[in-house]
Amino acid sequence: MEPKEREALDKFFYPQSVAIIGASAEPKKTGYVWVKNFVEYGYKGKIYPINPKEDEILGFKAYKSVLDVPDEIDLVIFIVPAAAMVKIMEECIKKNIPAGIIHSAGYAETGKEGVLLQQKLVDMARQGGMKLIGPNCVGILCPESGHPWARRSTFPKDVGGVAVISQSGGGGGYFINMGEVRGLSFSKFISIGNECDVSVIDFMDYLKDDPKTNAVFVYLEGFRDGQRFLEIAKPLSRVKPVLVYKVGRTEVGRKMTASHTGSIAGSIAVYDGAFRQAGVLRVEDFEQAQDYLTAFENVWFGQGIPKGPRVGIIAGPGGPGVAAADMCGEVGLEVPPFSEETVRRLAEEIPGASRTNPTDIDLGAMAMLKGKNPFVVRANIIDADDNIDMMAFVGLGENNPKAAMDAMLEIQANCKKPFIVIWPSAGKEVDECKEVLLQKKVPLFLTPERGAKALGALIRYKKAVERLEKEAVR
Amino acid sequence: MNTHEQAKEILSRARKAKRNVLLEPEAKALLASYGCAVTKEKVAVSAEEAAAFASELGFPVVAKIVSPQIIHKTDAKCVKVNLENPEKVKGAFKEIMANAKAYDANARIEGVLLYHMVSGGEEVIIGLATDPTFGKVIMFGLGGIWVEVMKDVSFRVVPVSREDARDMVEEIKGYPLLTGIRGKSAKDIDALCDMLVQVSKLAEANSEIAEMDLNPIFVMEKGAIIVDARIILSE
Repeated sequence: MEPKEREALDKFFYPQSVAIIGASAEPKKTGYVWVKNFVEYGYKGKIYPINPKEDEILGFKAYKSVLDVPDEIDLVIFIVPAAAMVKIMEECIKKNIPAGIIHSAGYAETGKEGVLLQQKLVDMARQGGMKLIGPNCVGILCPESGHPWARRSTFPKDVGGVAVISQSGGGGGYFINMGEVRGLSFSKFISIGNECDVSVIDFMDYLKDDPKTNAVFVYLEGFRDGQRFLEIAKPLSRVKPVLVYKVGRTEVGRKMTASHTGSIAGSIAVYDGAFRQAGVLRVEDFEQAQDYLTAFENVWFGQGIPKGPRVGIIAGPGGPGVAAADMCGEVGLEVPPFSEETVRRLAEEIPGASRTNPTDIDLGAMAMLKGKNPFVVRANIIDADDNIDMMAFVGLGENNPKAAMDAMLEIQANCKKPFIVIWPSAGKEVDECKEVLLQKKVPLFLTPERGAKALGALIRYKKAVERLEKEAVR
Repeated sequence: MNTHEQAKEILSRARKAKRNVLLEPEAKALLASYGCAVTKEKVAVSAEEAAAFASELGFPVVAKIVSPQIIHKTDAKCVKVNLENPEKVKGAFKEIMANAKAYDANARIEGVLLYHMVSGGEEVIIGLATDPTFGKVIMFGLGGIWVEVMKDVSFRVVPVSREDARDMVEEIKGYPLLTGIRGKSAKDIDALCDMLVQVSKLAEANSEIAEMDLNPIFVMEKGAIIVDARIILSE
């Protein structure tokens, strides 16, 4: 992306000053929520509410027009009826505002007249040098700068590595709130709305060089320009994993999306092919996106990139260990036998322990350990096994969750191989221990299958990058 | 004439004749100009000529009508396969001509196409379509029920790289049929990948090609050969 283009898009995330047109003193109105959110999220820049009928909103002096503001404005948020927009846009262009978010609905999604009005505004903005997001969106969220969205929900507190681009404001917001519970934290969120000017693909391009973003998640109804998607997504995938949740896959879903954004949703099989071509990982649902992002954030960018696809499974109960192994096989991972050295050490240090992969922990063998944690003893042995690239600890149990938690933290501190922990919920005490692991960025999964699929995604991505590198050389 | 010029000439000839569906020999010539192997063939205008050509090409042969008006040749009963000797070829020629007239009395008939019948390979399909979002896309699948019933296909957007081609072949569920299972020999996957890349190049260089249906293609132990090809130009 050209430096000039990048600087222009920076204004959306790091504005020095914001004008909120349609700001309101009435707590029920979105115009009030937006001002309040800027305050509550800790935004440090200047806030200029614009409302001809008010003198002051939430302690900020209100202005009749952006032209009355005695300062430069970096970003304008429009919360005004479509019919009033042309005149307001004229004023904003006169004020040389470089970036605008049209929050309100009532444009291309409503029919022919809406399409024409939207196009007129875009033409005006482009001529006047203003970039636009929306209409019909909840805006931008940037935890780093305290730039809030328009939602009434809570904000993600921590600054993290996941960027989210969403063609549905509600869907994207919901994903972020859910993700926080899973221990994910975010760099940026973009609700793109009707995508009248700056597009999903433009922001993908922007995020490629964003130092705060490790991984990109896109909630997608459809692209407008598939060729450009490939052009931008290939170099992006080479440096950062891109996950896409494509909705509108079925006939029912597609009818919904047609009325939602007016974008064309092609056949999912074609999208699938294009995603693979671009090295983009398609996810089945929100939960899978969060599983994969957990693996990328905490394994790939946290513990390190797995050297290969071979998984060593250390299970509390045998059954879930087998379930994990089965799913590993289905998603292209391997669960090979342990090395001779590992087998020898397991026999020596834990007499009676199972020495096959998956190895499970039975109570008889546990008694032999004289107080040493059975997971830690096995982890230390398998961590040195050249046949194994990563480890999965399955089913930590509910009898002594504190001990299991300490064991995982010890493994995190001492083992070199990447690992994940699969620990279903079992009451308050277990949940408290899991919360601690989440805080410490231990990659946690609820079921063996979901954990295995997430590891599979890491290896698929690793292969995709290798393929893209090869292709780029030729 | 280079590849590019040959292809352009075939396409402009069809355009001049106001046809947007290429005749089978034209489609194959177009593919051949991009280095794709196609069945060797000849068009005969009499039963005697058909028998002579068949002897030249080698038995058994397949015989098909060549007519711009008859697109669905099988439906019109204008395809005869496994013709093992000159007598059978002569009989087939007459039958095809009669069926063609019965199917469409006004059809312009250019003759009967003959080619050596290929066997012993694995049947696959390569297709091209124009997608509203991505533009030209290439489809790959195994022949017959694999495509029609199982929908076991893979897509890639043009241009298809060598790596993409390899992925699209490996990605389908029926892939083990190509690597050789149950005593069957391994097929020439490299030749198949070359073909996918060449078809992509053909589509990329000639934007007026809207759709292609290369079905069947036989992937042999050595090489891959296009047996039937349908190419449709944009209106």
